[in-house]
Amino acid sequence: MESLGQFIKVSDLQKVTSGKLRRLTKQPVFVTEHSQPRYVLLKLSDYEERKKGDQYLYLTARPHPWKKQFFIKGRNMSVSALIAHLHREKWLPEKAAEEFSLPVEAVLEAIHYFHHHQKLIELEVLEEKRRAESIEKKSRENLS
Amino acid sequence: MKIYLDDCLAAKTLAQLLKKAGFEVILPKEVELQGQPDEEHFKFCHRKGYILLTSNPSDFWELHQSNPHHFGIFAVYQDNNPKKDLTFKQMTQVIQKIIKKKIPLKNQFIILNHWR
Repeated sequence: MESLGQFIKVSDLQKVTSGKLRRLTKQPVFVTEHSQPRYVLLKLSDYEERKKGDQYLYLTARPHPWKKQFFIKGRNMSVSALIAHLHREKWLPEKAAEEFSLPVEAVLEAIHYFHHHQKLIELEVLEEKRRAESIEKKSRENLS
Repeated sequence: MKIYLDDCLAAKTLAQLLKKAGFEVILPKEVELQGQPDEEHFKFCHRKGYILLTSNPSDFWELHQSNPHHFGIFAVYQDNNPKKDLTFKQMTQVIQKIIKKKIPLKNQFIILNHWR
């Protein structure tokens, strides 16, 4: 197991349960869904503390009329925008970090935030889609 | 043709795909605009003659409404189903398709999702 700041990376484990990892790490763990076949883990003890105040090192709130989800610090990029790239391009966290010149921990925090604010993110993605479809109609009218 | 990738799309792979397709591409980091408000990205494109590519349609639509004179905005939106989202490869192909069709770009706001 490799230590990665506040995260632990487990290599070469194809099938491993949270329980087994808990025994290996001797503490509660959080398993991301985005890192197969390598599992990237967050120590749940840290997570529980940070969850209380949504305290992240690499994520922050940004003033926006309706988007309440966090953004990547120093970037005009929401968590949902970053996670969409991971899903769509089938990237591992390391690859996303390289693509956007971010620390791997920033991507891991975004994954973590995404998993714990899914309802908010889903609502905001739907709202953006609704707005975009309305814009699409207007812009097509302008083009025709 | 010059394309500026907004912060949310400033990925190396996308930049490479667009360059390979013959576009001149610039990232916010290269012009010290990383993390700056949308207005700054928009103003830069206006000043330097870049088409802006963003995955943040609603905020750039507001800017387009308040200042409709620019070199063009391409926007993609995220579907709730990742399988329906445009990949970087598809974004590049759609942009090429639009250029091939000689769709006017100046002062236009074009959502790429429906062009695939």
